[in-house]
Amino acid sequence: MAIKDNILIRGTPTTAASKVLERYRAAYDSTVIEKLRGADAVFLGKTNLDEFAMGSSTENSAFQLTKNPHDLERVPGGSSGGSATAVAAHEAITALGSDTGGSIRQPANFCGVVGLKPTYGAVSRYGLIAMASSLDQIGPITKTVKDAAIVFKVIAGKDVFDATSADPPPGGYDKLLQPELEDIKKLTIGLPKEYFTEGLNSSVTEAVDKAISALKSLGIKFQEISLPHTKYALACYYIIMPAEVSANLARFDGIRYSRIANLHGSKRRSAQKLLDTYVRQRSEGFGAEAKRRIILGTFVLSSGYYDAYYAKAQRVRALIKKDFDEAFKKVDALLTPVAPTPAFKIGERADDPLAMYLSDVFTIPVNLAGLPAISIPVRDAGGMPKVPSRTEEPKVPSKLEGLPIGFQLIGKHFHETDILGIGQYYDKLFEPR
Amino acid sequence: MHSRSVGTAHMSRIDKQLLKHLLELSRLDVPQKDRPRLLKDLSAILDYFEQLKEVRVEGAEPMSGGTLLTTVMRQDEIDIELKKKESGETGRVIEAFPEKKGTFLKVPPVF
Repeated sequence: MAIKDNILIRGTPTTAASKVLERYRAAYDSTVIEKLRGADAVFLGKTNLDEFAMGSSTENSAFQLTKNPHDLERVPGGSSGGSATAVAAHEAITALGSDTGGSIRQPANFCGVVGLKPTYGAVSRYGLIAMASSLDQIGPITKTVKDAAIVFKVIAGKDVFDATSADPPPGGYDKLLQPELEDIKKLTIGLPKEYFTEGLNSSVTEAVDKAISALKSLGIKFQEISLPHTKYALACYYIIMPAEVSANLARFDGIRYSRIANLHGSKRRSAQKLLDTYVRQRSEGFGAEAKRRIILGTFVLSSGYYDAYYAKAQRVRALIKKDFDEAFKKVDALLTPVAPTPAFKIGERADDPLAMYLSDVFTIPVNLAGLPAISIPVRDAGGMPKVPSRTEEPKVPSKLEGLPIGFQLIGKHFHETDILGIGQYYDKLFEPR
Repeated sequence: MHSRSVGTAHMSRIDKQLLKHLLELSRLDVPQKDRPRLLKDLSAILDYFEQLKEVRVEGAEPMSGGTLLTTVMRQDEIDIELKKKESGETGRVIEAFPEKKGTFLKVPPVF
């Protein structure tokens, strides 16, 4: 397995792709790592990410540029771009990522692999370097939906070290690995009309339509539904998330964890004050996006602006969750695109933070509502990797065959079994015979 | 740390003065030459937030976390299994201190 470099493995460097943690070595194993060790997993290495998981293209890493294996001129998505790339390029069978606003599903979508963001609380966050604690969740990136179910089953469950973690309702995960077609056929999938807007790239529409047709062939019924507050999710997220970032990143002060090289330069140590240490460590250690989010978060939480921004966003978040609650009275799961476009070019959005944020418009509402969601490659569109056979040497499709595009299934709280079940039967349609 | 504002909060601009204040609060410094660009980016993001003005939130309780769990408590007792698991951890945390004296964390003078 490949592990995103914001998940602690005892005794090994864990940088979160930031200079502020360049020399940090993890003091303990995160709970997911401990559970995977118990299942005899082998960890091949740590993977690149946007600094502190903040970005949608992995271009914000302080150390390396990661390229999309399907087209080396394009981004792999982010922030778990390294994990998605490692699986797509057959460097690892599976990987772990983390997802705060789409950071597992969007790179999986861009790289033609499967990415699962579990229900908030389904997987312990102990040992995950925190970005936005009310949104963060660890999940698997794999080649097939079945593999995602296998890894999820190992890492899920309540943990005393994470007070927000919880077990599923009794029997909740019994059919994770052996879903029954009879159960799947009974499910109704909702198509939220707000996700199928005019701004959608035509290749995405085409691919998602193919996925819907394939699922209909299994006997699953579809129904159009509405999530009226969808268009406010991005603004809501970009208030709540930086607020939490500004608090979580306060701990990287140069006193604990790790200090950037030559912090005190040639000046005599005795001339240095504590405040200088804080400011130099953080100013020289954090990249532009991290700084932008810390400043924005400090702003929305500060006196005089709190009510207009943070308190308002918290209420909008409740309305977004309520939209989903209402929809799930009518349907069992939702199907949407993962991102408005396929993978974009390296550098294309690097200078425009708002354009970068827009690539997460379909994944963010799920985190705000704490729901489980999976990104699955459309297997019969463009250059999509077919479901890999166990005997054949895998090959990465060339860009001539087109870029991968996925679809997203969103489930009810702790109903990973539904979306992983639908996904496993979807994959079965394309398995080599 | 962050006090709730009373009075009339309104959507606002971040100007040079406010940016300076926010940088102080954040323990960050940004070179003067980079500040106009930063202000421009922040303005664009704040403009995007304007759309939240039109959302009617009356009756919606603020959602302050990702879960509906209420305060989760743990028994205040020594758990032998946990202690075993944590053994050696303290040493590794101390080892990671950028500067130390014995087992103490060394901090530059405050004044």
